Amino acid sequence: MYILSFESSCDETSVAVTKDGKYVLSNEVLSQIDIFKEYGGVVPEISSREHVKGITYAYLSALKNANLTMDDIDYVAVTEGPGLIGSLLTGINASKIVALNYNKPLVGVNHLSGHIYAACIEHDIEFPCLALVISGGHTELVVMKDHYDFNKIGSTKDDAVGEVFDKVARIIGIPYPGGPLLDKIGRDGKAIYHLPRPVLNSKDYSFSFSGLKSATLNLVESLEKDGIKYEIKDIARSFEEAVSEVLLKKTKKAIEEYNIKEVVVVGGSAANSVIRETLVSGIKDVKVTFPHLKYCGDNAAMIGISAYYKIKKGEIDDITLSPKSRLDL
Amino acid sequence: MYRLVLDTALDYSYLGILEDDNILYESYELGKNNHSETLMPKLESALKDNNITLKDIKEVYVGIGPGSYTGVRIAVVIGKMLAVMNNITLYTFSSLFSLVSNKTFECYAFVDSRRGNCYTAHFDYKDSKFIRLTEDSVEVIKDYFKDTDENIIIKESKPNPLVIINSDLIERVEDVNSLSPNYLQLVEAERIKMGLK
Ligand SMILES: [Zn+2]
Repeated sequence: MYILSFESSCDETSVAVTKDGKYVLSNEVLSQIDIFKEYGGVVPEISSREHVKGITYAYLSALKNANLTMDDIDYVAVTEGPGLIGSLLTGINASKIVALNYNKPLVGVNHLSGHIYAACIEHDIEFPCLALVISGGHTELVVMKDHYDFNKIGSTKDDAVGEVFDKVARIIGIPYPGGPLLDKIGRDGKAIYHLPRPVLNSKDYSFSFSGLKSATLNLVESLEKDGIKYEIKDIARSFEEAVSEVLLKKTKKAIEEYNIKEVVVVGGSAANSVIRETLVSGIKDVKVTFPHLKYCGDNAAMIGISAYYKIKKGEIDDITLSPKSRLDL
Repeated sequence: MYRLVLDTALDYSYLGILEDDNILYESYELGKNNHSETLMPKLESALKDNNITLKDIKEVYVGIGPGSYTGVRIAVVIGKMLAVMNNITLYTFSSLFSLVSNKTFECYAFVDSRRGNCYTAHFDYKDSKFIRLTEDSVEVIKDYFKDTDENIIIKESKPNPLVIINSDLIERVEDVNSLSPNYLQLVEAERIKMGLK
């Protein structure tokens, strides 16, 4: 089964062709990151405009790189939410007109499920599976007893992991997008500062990172006020280890309670090396899987993989599909 | 030959299917924020009712703005996609021109763009044809129109697809991939970055 998929929920215009919910034949990603470096963050209206500009190029390129024509495609899939409404609209309208033009069934995909299914690219996950979704917009723990059976057991009460990475990066003077650069700088740093581990010992699976962000800001301000020399790499590393420890602890707790066989760590922040190392070395008894780095950020391939399993469940949408800025799993 | 005419930039959503110089189907629907939901099902049933498919359409004409940022993107994305999928010719027209296209006299197209501003363009009508007197622009309403006869300021009117496709005021798109709507205004963040107000 060949699926053509669209993703335009935030600042990447992406179209992909995937096969059988497992193989990526092409995955064109037009990133707007260079534009938003100048703004220090995503500007929704600029993002919407860029999607319109890039959509036909991404579509043509995805088919060409897959070496297929629309005759070979069985389904058209698209991210229906959550995301920026103006951005989602371009992917939705493009996918609808493709579906209508070639008379193909249309499948709307939840962006979060897309991130989770990035772990299924050339890989079979074992159930019960625990997905830790960490990105600029999300921090969630999801238990899956089977394909397309999502049980969200916890999420962040305030900032998402990727969001707090960007904010802390700004505090220590690292330009947007802070996450990847903070990762690089933190690699040589030492965790010599103790920062709080919010909700580390709470009974539930919720997260909270805004306190950690404030604590980092206070730390930097007091070091500066006292004239104490510090290196941003040590701040970065101390912060990363605080985040990683909270993620590890909650993940381990869920592994026990839900008898988990495999943990998949997905989303843009799953590319962070300290988070990766902490989770891999801290979880001994079950398999820990990360998608390939190129499938951690937003991309259409993961939407096509997820769509495959939605189709297997018999869930198909139609041309009335509309974008949803908020959408639960 | 079948042609498709779309304009979703203004308060209305317009969809027309033409066969040569006849209007086979048209829909003109007022309502600001649901263009995206209503347009595609309408297109699907219009095609079905007339026993044609999108592959029969040989030319697409889309309104390129100015108007609602979200609205204008719908027709432009559909137009771009149809052009590349079916290898057909894409034309664009100003949504301000489509607004006056059913008139037969000198007039101004007027679209409120909030904060006392409007999008406008001035058209003359001679020998059964529209001539553009001013480019699409953003103007302060009370200054720009203070001496203008209210009767020639057109705020709401159904587009005339036959006038549009036969006009000199349409543009054939050579580079479909890089086509963007004519927003006419920078995004606020762009203005701030450039040091404008
Ligand atoms: Zn994402």
